[in-house]
Amino acid sequence: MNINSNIKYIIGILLLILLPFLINNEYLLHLLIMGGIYTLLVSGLNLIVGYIGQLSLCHPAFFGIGAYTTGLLFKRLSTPFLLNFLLAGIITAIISIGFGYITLRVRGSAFIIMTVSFLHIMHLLVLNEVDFTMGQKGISGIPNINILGYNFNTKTSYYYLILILCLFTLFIIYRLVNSEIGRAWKAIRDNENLAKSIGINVFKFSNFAFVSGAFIAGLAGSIYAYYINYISPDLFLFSITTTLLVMLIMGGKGTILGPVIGAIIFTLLPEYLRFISEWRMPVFGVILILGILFFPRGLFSIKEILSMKMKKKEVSS
Amino acid sequence: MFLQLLINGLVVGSGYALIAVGHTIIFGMMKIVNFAHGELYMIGAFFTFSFVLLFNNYYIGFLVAMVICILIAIFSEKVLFHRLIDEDIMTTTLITIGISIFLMNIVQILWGANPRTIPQPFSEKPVIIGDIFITKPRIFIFFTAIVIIGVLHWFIKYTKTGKAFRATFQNRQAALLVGININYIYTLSYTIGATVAGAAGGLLGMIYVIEPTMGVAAVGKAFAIVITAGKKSIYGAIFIAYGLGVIESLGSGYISSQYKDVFAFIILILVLLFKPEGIFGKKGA
Amino acid sequence: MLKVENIAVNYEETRALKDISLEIKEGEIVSIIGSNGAGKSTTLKAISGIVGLQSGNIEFKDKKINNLSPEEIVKAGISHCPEGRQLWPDMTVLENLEMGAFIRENSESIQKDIQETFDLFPILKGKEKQTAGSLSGGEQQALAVARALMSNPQLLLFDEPSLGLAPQLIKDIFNKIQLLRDEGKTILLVEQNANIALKTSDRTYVIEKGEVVLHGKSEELIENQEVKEIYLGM
Repeated sequence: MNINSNIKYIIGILLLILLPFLINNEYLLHLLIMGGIYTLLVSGLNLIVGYIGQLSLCHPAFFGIGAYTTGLLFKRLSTPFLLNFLLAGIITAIISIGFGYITLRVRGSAFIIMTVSFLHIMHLLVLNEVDFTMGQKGISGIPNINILGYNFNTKTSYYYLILILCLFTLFIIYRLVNSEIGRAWKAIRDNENLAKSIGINVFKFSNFAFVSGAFIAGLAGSIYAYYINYISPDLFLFSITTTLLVMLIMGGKGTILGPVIGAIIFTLLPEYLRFISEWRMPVFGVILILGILFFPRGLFSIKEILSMKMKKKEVSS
Repeated sequence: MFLQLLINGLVVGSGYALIAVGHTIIFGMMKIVNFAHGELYMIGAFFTFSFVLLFNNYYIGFLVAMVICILIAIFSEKVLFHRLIDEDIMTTTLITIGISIFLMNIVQILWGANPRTIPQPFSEKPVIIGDIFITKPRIFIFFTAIVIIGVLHWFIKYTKTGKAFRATFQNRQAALLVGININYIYTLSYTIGATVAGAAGGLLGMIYVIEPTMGVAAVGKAFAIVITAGKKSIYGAIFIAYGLGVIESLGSGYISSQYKDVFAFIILILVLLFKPEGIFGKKGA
Repeated sequence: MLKVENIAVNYEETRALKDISLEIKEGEIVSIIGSNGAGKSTTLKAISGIVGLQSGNIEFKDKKINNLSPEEIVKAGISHCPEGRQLWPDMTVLENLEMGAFIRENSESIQKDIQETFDLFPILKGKEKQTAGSLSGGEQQALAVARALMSNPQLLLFDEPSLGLAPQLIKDIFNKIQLLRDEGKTILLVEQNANIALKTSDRTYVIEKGEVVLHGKSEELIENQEVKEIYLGM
């Protein structure tokens, strides 16, 4: 990272800090907060999909587990935010360790199917164990966050909380990806057998990426529960998987900023295309198909593709 | 009780068998992880529903719906699925998920989300043997599925095209070298697989509620069956499909009906842990 | 009969063939030898249309066949017996043979040819209903050759027929190949086993790194000092 791009990042962060004063629009602020929560989710999913190269379709389950851990802890034990928040991450991570331990031995289609099944089973459990989870009714009345007496009762306060969490998470991911661990991940993605042959423990590194992603999703779920004050089994729906995949693919998998771009664009875009509201999901389907076919490395790659074409022209002329 | 559950299970298993056969063919032949396979099941059910109402006759409605399924299958193979052959699994999965979402929601917009069933042509009076109680549509579904599987077996086993189909399935390059037009075989395979799934929809829609999301649940089961059987085993998939139908039926009768959808995945997890190549699969294949 | 002119082929993103030219006259046995990865198999695949050409020309009986599909090339009279046999393991011996005759329509003459196959390869007799996967290595190679014959070809391409076989079985297969020539077939064979290739064939091309480096009468090449050192290990 040279000085020039450092300055770019600092200006960007300053802009994000000033944003609430600039827009002065509660609804837009709400969308940005949701965009931030999606950023956390997609960045976590990116670890296993973008860096390990295994397609996981159960990411919303970890989000849901985090949200339900928080909701249930509050409902049953009235424990404070910080404890609930951390436990949401930890319990989600523990469950994902167990699940990853069984499923990450297999690659490809079998892994994909296991993850869909896991999401489906979690949905069934939350729906049917009414005594424990309150079933379809969901859990309502979760209060706002309260840290040591400070009450998060404005959108702006949530905005800054999410902003800090996103920046911190992205920084950690950036450090991870550019460390020995990240190099091992990419080696596994590019050629698993080769990675094995040079002594990389594929199972261990895949698991680490998977569990890290789940941990982040669990934390995001906790924040979401506090922010929306209500959670329901709908958090475990496959349509959320789809949304996350569209964000990840269009943003650009295997990059640090791709998930951020994808999450923000595809949180804002549907809201401003309200008139097509019932066509939202079919359009997402088409975007996914076209995105994979034409921009396999995300919308960012448009620039690359264009500049490549320009170069080709130069060469030929 | 036991016999009743067993028979119910075999009826459900007939549907699973039809869906899973198509899935195995597409998976084994074209190596496509087809998440959109369940949507053909769903579309088969909705077209049958509409055409049965239009012609006021189940059989004509069903046959016309199957013709539409065939046309859709040929079109989608030529336009999209053909490009996915040998693509990596991440690409095919994501694209077929896109197709699945698209079709599911289009049907939801066109037909609406409210659940319905296909009007069935039989008298309401069930057949009663001893203390077993079977409705006529269930009997019809069971035997129609057997006939479809029988015809498919005859086609694959004894016709020249069927043998070419098996040859391409087992070794594509050798098929090319003896002059088999494998592009034709791919289109044929996809069409058969998709249409048989559509037929399952047109049949089971008489006894189950049809709704736009039915394909997603079905494709999960189909995957579980195909991987449990061992990916390339057509007959294994049929066997497992009937077995799963029976296990689900017995499980929901004796254990819990809310969790009947979980059995498939428990079996799948056990298979992947202890025999990852599948029950009928070959090591290293 | 077959004329290959300056063909270049890219295979799996690397240049497999740079510049190959060869010619085979009717009734000849021509062999291609060379070390592993020299481009021998790719040459055969290019002729039978499995891999496309980057440049160059292939003519069969004075007709261009560059752009034909594998199916049309089989119909034109070329049959390719691939490396590693490539049988259909779960199909029976009989079915493998029937499929070899896929492009033919007349089922009577096909049945007659299948009967003749069992005379030509007695080791397959009585195994008609067995699956190909259950056969021994020698039986599988015999079946692969028999299957290639079923399309009634004028030109036969053999890719490593000796691979994985015991010396006695190798001898058998090459005797059969000579027998086929005596019956009027033209043969192009690719072999790692240069010794037997040179002894069986009339002419030989030596290929290295996708190019023809040497060609001539086999009986002369067998005396060539270079060939002796590099390919015959003497």
